[in-house]
Amino acid sequence: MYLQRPPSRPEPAPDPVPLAIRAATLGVIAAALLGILLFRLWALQVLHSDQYVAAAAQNSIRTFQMPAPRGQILDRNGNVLVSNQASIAVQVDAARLPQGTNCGPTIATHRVHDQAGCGVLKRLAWVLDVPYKRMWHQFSRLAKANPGYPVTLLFPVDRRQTAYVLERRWLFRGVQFEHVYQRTYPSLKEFGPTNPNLLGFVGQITAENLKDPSFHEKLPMLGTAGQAGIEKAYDRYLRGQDGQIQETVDPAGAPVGQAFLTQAPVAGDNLRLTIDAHLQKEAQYAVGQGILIAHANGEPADFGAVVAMNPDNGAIYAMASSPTYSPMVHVPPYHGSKAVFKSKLTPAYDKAFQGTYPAGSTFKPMTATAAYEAGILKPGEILDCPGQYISKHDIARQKTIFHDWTPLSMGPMGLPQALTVSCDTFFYQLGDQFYGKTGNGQEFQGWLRKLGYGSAPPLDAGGAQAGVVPDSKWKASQTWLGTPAQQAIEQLWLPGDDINMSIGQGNLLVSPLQQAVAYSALENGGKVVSPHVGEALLEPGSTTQTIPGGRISPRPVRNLHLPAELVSEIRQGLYGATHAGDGTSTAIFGGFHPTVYGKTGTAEVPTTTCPNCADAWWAGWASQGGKSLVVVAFIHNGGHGGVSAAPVAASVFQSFFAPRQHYTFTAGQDQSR
Amino acid sequence: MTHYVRHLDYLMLATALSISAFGLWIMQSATKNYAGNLYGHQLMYVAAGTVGMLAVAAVPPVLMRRVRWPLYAFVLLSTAAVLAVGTSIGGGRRWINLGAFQFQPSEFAKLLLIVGLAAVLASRRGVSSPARLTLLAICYVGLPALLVFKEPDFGTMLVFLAIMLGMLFVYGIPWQHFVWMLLAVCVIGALIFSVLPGMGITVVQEYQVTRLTSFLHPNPNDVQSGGFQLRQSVIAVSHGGLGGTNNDASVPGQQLGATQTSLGFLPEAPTDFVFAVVGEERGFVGAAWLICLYALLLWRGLKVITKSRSTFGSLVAAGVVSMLLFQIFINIGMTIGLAPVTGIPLPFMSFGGSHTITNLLAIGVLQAIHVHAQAADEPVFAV
Repeated sequence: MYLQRPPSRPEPAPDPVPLAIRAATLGVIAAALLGILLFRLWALQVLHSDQYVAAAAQNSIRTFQMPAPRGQILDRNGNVLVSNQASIAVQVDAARLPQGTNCGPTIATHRVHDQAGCGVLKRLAWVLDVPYKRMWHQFSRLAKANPGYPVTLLFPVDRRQTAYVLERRWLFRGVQFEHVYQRTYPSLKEFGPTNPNLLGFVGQITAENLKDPSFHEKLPMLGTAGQAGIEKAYDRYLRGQDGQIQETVDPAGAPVGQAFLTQAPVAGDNLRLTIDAHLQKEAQYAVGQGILIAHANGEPADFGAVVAMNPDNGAIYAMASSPTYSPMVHVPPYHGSKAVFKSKLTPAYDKAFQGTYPAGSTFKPMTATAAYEAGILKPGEILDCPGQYISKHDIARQKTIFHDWTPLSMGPMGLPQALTVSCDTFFYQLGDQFYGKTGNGQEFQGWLRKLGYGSAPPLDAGGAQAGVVPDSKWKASQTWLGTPAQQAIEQLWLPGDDINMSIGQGNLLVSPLQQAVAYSALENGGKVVSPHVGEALLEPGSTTQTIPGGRISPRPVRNLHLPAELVSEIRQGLYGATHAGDGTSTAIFGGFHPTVYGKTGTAEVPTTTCPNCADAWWAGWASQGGKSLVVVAFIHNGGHGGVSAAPVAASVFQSFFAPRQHYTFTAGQDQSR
Repeated sequence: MTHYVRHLDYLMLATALSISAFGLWIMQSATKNYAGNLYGHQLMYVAAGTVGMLAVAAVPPVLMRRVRWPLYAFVLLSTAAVLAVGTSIGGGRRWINLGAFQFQPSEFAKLLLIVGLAAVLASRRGVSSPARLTLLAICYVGLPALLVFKEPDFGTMLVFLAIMLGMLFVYGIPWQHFVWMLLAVCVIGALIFSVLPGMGITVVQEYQVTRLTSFLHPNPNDVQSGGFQLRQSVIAVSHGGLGGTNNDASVPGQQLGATQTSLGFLPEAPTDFVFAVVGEERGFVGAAWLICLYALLLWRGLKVITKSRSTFGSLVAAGVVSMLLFQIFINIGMTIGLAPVTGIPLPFMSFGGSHTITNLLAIGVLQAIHVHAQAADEPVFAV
C-alpha cells in the first residue's frame, strides 16, 4: 500500500468560496446547454413532429431491378442466334404519379391542370415523340396487366430524352428510367431470321404469366420472361436472376445518398440448339424457291414449310416456315411488327409445327403400317390397282366411286410398287378393310395415333398443334353444313372416311412436324421420337461448356418395333418413288447422292376460289456416313408434290450432306396425286 | 478498503452505469443494419470500463499527480504514433491497430491530459503568475491538440480545448485571459480558413469545412457533406415524437416502428448518431430522460470540484465535467441540428471501445478524488 506523502512544495488550499462560485458557474453553463438541447428536442419531437414524420415517410427506398443478362441462344455450331444488348427503358410508376389520372386516351388542354397524372403522361409522350393516345393506351394496358408495379413502356428512349426528363424531375413525377437488356440477333445478317416462331420472344412479366404453369417456377413480379417459343420453354434457365439496387429517394424521386447493390444479378444459362443456322438459312431459302417453282407452274402457292430432323433422336436441324419475318419485330421499336401481324399469310403462325393440313399421298406409308400392324396387309401381299374403287361396305343405292389419280389400271402390285407409283386404289382397299373390320373408325386411328398423329408432338419449344385424326366420335361431335338430315348423315362414320384417310385426305389434318416424326419412325424401325430444338444448357457466358446435367435428350414417346419386313417393303417403295422410272420424284432424286428414300404428296384442297388447288408435300430421308436426315417439305397450294416440294427437300439434303455445293433449283415432274 | 467502499459516490456510479446500460439497450436496435456482434463488443467494453473505473477509484490522486510527465509523454507518443502507423477508418487515421483490437489514443489522451494539466497547474499554483500559467496550459494542451488535428480529428481537438478552458476557468485565471484567447482563436481561424488558403496553403480539407458549416445551411442531397446525415438524423429524432416509435414492429399501430433507424436511413447509427436512435425509438421522453441522467452525472462531477480538498482534485473534476459536458452538448446538438457534424461520440452511449473505457475511467478518477477527499477527514493511511 502506498502511503500519501506530503507534496514536494507547500500548496495553499484552494479558496473555498470563489471555487464554489466558479463550480456553480460551470454548473449553470452545463444546465443552460442541456436546457437548450431539451428545448430543441421539445420543438422537434413534440411541436413540429408532424412535418418531420411526413418527411420520414417521404424518405422512401426505391428498389431498382438490375436486370440479369439473359442467356444467349446458340445454334449447334456455336453461332450466336440470340444475344443481349443493354439499353434504357422508360418506366412509369402509377403509384408515384401525381394524383389525377382520370383521363382517357384523349385529353383536353384544360384537363391537364386538374389531372396532373395525365399531364405527366402527356409531357412524357411529347418528350418521347409518340402520340399521347398511344402512350395512354400502352400505359393503361400494361398497368392493368401487372397492377401495382411500375410499367415499363415499350417506347425507345435515348440519352438525350433521359437527360431532359431527369433535369425536370418535378414535371415527370413517377417517371423513371431503368437499364434493361434487349434481345439482339447477331446472326441475322449472316443467316437471316432463324424461325422467330421457334425462338419466341421476351416481354414484360404479366399477371397472366404469373398464373401460367408452363413457366415451371414462380416468376418474379417484375422483370422480363420469355413469352413464346424457346424463350418461354427454357425461360427458367435463360432468365437468370435479376439483381436489386436500393436507393433512398426524396419525394421528388431524386436519389438521396448512396445506392446499394442488395442483390447481385445472376446471369442466365446459355442454350445451344440442335438447329444448324446454315441449314436453317438454306431451308428457308428453299421453301421460298419451292413457292416460286409452284408459281412458275401456275399454282397459287402462298406459304410453305420444311422440317429437317435427325430421325434417331428427334433433334431438329432446321424448321423453316415461309413467309418468315425478322425477329426484330419483337424488340423495341418494333419495326415492321404491324405488317407481320396484319399479313393474311400469318407469318407468326408457324406453318411447320402449328399449321395442319391434309397429308396427301405422303400418308400412304402410314396407312400401310397401320394395315400391317392390324393384320390387314400381309407381308408381300399383292393387291390390284384398278382405276377406280367402290367400297365393299357401301350400302347406299348410288355407290360412291373412289378414283385413282389415273383412270388406267396399273395391275396387281405389292406394297413397294404401290408406294413407288403412288397407287391410290391399293390403299383404298386397305382403308375399306379397316372399315369392314370394325366399322367404327377406331382401329385405323389407333395405329395412326401411335405414330404421333392426332396429338401435339412434344416439341420442347411448345406450341405444336395436334391436327386431326378423324374417327366416328370426332365426326359425330362436329357441326356440319346442310339440312338436319344431311347433317345427320355427315355425322355418321362411313366407308369413305376410312378410304379417304388411307390416302391422307378427308378430314385428316397433320403438321409437317408430325410427318417428320412419323417418317422418322419408318426410318428408325418404329421409334416415335420427341422432336426437340434444345441441345444443351451451357454455363453462363460459355459457348461450349455444358452445365452438369444440361444435355437435352428427350426420350422417345414410344417404340412401335415395326416388323422388319414392313420396314423393308416401305423402304423399297420409297426408293422406287425416288429412283424408278415411274417414281413420283425420280426427276429430282434419281441421280441424287446420297440415296434418298421419299414419298411425294399432292393433297387436294379444293375451295370455291381455287377448285383445283392442291398442297404439295414431300417426305423422306437419306443417310450417309452414319448421319441420317428426315426431311418433310410442304408448299401450300403448291400443286404436285414432286414438282414443287421435292426440290425443296433435295436442296435441304444437299445443304446437309454437302454444304459446300450449291443446289440448283429445277421443277420436278410428277403427275400423281 | 472500508472507507473506499464507504466513500464511493454511489449516485455518480449508478448514473454512469445507468447511462451505459441505456446505451447497450439502444445498441441492440441501432446495430440492426450492421454486420457482426456490435452489441456484444460494446457489452465487453462497458464491463472492462467498469472494472477499470472501480480500480482507478482506489488509486490515490497524489499518485496520479506524480506521473504527470510520463502520462504526457505517453499522450504525445501515442498520438504521434497514430500519424505514423495509424489505421485509417472512415477518412481519418485515428486508430492504432494492436492486433486483436484497435486502440484510439486520442480518446485516452483526453483523460490523461486532464490529469496531467491538473497536476501541472496545481503544482505551479502560487509559483507562476496567472499569465504564465495560462500560456503553459495552452502549450501543454496545444501540442497534442495539433497532433490530433493532423490525424485529422477535429472533434477531439475541440474536446481538448474545451477541457483546457473548463480547467482554466475553475482554476480561476483572470477573465481577461479568456478574452485574449477568444481573439487568438479568431485570428487563427481567419488564418486557417481564409488567409492561408488564399496563399495556397491548405490547412483544413474542403470536406471538413463543409461538414463543419453544413448545419448552418443544410444541403440534404449532398452525401459528402454532413448535410445528408444531419437531415436524416433530424428526421429520425422528430419521427420519435413524444413517446417514440419503439423498435418493435409487432406492436399494433406501430407496424413501421423506427423506420429511419431500422431501414438504414440513419447513417452511423451506433456511433456518432446514436442519440438519433434514442430520439426515434424512445421519443422525447426517452431523450429527456437521458439528458436528465447526464445532468445528474454532471452535477455529481461538479460536487467533486467543491468537495475536493486539493487544487489538483478540483481541476481534474473540472476537466472531466468539461469534457463530458462538451461532448454531450456537441454530439446531441449535432444530432438535432444545433452543432456542426464532428466525429465526437456521445459519452457512455456511442459504440466504441476506446471512448467507452476512457469515459468510465474518467468517472473512476472522479471517484478516486471523491473517495480520497472524504478519506482526508480520516487517518492519513489511505487505502
